[in-house]
Amino acid sequence: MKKTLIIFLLFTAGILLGCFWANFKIDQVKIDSDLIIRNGIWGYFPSMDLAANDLQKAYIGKIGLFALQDSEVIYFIASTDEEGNPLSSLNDYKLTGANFDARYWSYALYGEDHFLIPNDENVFSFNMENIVYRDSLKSTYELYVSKNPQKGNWLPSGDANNMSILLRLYNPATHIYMNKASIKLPTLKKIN
Amino acid sequence: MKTHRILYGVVLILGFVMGFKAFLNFYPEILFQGAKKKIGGLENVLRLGNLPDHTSKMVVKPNPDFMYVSCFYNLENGPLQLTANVSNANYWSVGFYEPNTINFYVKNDKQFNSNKLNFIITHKGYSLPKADDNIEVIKSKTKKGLILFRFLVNSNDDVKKIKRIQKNIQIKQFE
Repeated sequence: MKKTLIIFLLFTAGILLGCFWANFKIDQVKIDSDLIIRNGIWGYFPSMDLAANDLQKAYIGKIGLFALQDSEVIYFIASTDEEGNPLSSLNDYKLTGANFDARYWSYALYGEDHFLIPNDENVFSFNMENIVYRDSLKSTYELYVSKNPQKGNWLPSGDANNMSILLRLYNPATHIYMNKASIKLPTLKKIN
Repeated sequence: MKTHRILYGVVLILGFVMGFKAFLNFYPEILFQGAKKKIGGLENVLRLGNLPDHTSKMVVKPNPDFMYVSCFYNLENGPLQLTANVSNANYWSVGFYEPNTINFYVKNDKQFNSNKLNFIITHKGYSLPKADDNIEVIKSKTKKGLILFRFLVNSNDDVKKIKRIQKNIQIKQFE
């Protein structure tokens, strides 16, 4: 009787430990995982075939539920500046980038909870249509992430820590698919 | 005594492995059910979304450039028919998801030959009479899932236009 009880308790403890460890591993994906490939400060999944990897499926469910297949869109996510520090609304940042060969692209800013950050301007994103380019050829732009008003493309950061910027490329050109690790992606520098 | 210790160790490891695998396996489904509950929990009913803002807390990382239409489907009572007339110059797409959050189908505006969409959504085990050529049959591995339309908004005029499009999307039991 005592032996059966010990087995039951150990089994239950094992299950709980397994669940705890799985949850921990999901959170660790962004910090230390072979699942995410880096291109500068930007991270991406080499494949969005979620059926192939339970850990990736769980992680994407947590940070971006109902993401699309990579045949439709490529997601690049940045959660640090160029120096590797987490993004915080205590700082101002300048994102410098170029146009992408894609049907539609956008930058959206999210808080630690993965939701849009409240701000008085009600501005949550910039995309290829509403961003102000630096040149008439619409090839380059600067985007400021700050809680204080900025001239030009200003993405208000409200009052948030551990923010992330999600770059979405819908129907990108083939050369982008082929060179996700090496294409030139925007820089994000702390400016204060 | 030594045999007992080995047995206890095996039981603990077995529980750990099962707990680990089960958590990873069911976690996405829990998130799916959570989203369904937040959206209202209704099945086979379309939910027309406005442009997301900071108050949009139903699904993480909403795209603030998109207006969505969502529908949690249930094929327990047979196939469903989804129709729409989507005349819109901006990007739009329709995606289908399993309850484990896998996006098993997506098609965008450029991939449709017509503005008039006509889908029959059926469970893969269900035998369907031959459908018309203008009807696309979606075979879902699971009886439950999610349909998600995304409409790109570039201006205030787009909002009005897309609201009209949202309203003409219909889902009903296929007869």
